[in-house]
Amino acid sequence: MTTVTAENVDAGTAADLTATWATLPRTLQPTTAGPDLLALGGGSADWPERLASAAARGVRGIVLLDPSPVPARTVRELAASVTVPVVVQTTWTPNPALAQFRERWAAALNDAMTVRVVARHAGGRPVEHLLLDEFTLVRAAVGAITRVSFARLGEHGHALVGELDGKFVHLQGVRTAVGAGEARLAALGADQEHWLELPAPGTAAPARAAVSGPDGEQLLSPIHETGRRAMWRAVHRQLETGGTGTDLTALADDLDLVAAAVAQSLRC
Amino acid sequence: MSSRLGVGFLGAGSVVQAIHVPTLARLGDRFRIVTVMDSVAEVAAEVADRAGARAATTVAEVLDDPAVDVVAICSPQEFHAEQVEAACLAGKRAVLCEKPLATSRAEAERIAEVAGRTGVPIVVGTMHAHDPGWTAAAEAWGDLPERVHTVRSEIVLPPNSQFENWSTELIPRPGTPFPDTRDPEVRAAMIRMGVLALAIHDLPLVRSFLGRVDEVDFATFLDPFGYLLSIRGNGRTAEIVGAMHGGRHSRWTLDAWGEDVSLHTEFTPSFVSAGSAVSTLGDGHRRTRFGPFPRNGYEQEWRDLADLVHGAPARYSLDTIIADITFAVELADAAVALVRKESRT
Repeated sequence: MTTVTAENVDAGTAADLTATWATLPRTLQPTTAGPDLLALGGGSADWPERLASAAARGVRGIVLLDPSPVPARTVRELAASVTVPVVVQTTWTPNPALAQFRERWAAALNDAMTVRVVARHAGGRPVEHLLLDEFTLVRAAVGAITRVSFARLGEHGHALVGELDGKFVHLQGVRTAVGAGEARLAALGADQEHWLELPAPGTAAPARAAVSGPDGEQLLSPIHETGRRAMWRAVHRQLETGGTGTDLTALADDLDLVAAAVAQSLRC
Repeated sequence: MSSRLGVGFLGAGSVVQAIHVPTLARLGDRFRIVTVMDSVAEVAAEVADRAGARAATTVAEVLDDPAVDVVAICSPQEFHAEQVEAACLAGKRAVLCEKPLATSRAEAERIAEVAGRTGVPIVVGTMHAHDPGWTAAAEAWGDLPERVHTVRSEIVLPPNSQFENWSTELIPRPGTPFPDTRDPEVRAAMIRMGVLALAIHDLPLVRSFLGRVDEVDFATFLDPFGYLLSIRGNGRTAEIVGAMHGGRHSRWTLDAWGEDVSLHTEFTPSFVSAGSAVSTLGDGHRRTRFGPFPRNGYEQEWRDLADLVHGAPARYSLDTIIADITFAVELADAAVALVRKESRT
């Protein structure tokens, strides 16, 4: 049994964590002190200091929840100094369909020429945070974006063009209450398309994923598990197997992209 | 005199063979094809023979034929404007012009003047604007256009030949070599073609939310054939995406989003008679679906034309169709200018 606690989270996140951990009663045991695992809220700008402090206190692993953008340099320094596994959770990355999508069709995804993403966001959060959600989604599904060549950021949404390992990438983010939290990603190749439709986080409604090619359309089996639950199971497995990897370096790279997008963006 | 409207075609290529002839075969109570003109005599003869019509190789033969009530302009796009004008001046009862209605603002202005003066009604073959799945949503959406802030038109399609072969047996024509898209001027030309031949299907729908093009912020050609345009108009933004591929699947969608409203429309592919689009209007509490209806936009545009000739009000006024083509041409011109500018830097 692995003990777990939360730090620096708001009431809504605390309730989500309690509900999620309650579905893993033989794996996770909530505690109030000296946990093996820490769920660290990333909503405040001081999350890097909090994370470093928690690592120094001796937790065995940290899940960084929804980190707000901070300078990439800070995160890179943190990645170099922290020795415990750190898993970064952004809006869509916990969804178990993402890993299956990439694993199942990785070879074919390399042949894709264009990647298109449409993400619907609830209002309220700064655009930098929305971009980080989308960059981490793309990284998890098809690989890291390496360059941003166009960005238009606005009050109601944004559009962005970039490159991913030679592929053309187009992101469109929309602020709307209708379907908020849902995202669609499609990678188009010469004669096939891989697509993934992700539900809002927190629901056990399955993502839909498929490859459509000359021989037909193959759907990924539905997974009726919330992304958050799947992520906590994966984190626990990582601890059990002695994993030491950290997502912080990738997070720093994505924060660099966010900064690049903001620096060159049209504002409207 | 027959109560059915006599149709004369200018051009008898794949669109006529795979779309209009099969569609009019379903509307035999309203139309009969009387003349088919094509510059290639053999093509004109074979299509005419299929339709039980007379073959012709010149425009004059169609315009001078008193049995032709409706001129259907399906020639290459550079001829559309002059042929629309000629059909109006010939005193025909109506014109159906394939998209684009014109290729420049000046052409659009000339059409507006001639059609306005002669009173000949024009229907443009932007079939999605007539699609029952779209028009049913439009009739129900209330103040949606004022509330929308973001639009997306997405067209991902296999080659036309696939759908053409599912629609008819085309008369073979020599193929044209694919141009070298590494040449910046070729890419600029392809962007223009992408806007005026593919994106244009949905540009009237995009215009119903944006109203006008204020700025094209980004434009690029996508290999092997496609485009991405990121535009602004009237305080709103739109992403206009098109991509062709060698597979089988198609995705043809139009989305519009506001703070707490949305529209999602999924269209059936071109050429095939696969029924209407399905549109879904959404708000924070419910989603309302329109369609699928049995008729597609091609059939509906011909029905609209027949109704128009018999005195029904136009679904789209002359002002509207001129504004639609002006929107498309300005978008194409701005996109081409941007692609050229980018290629120089």
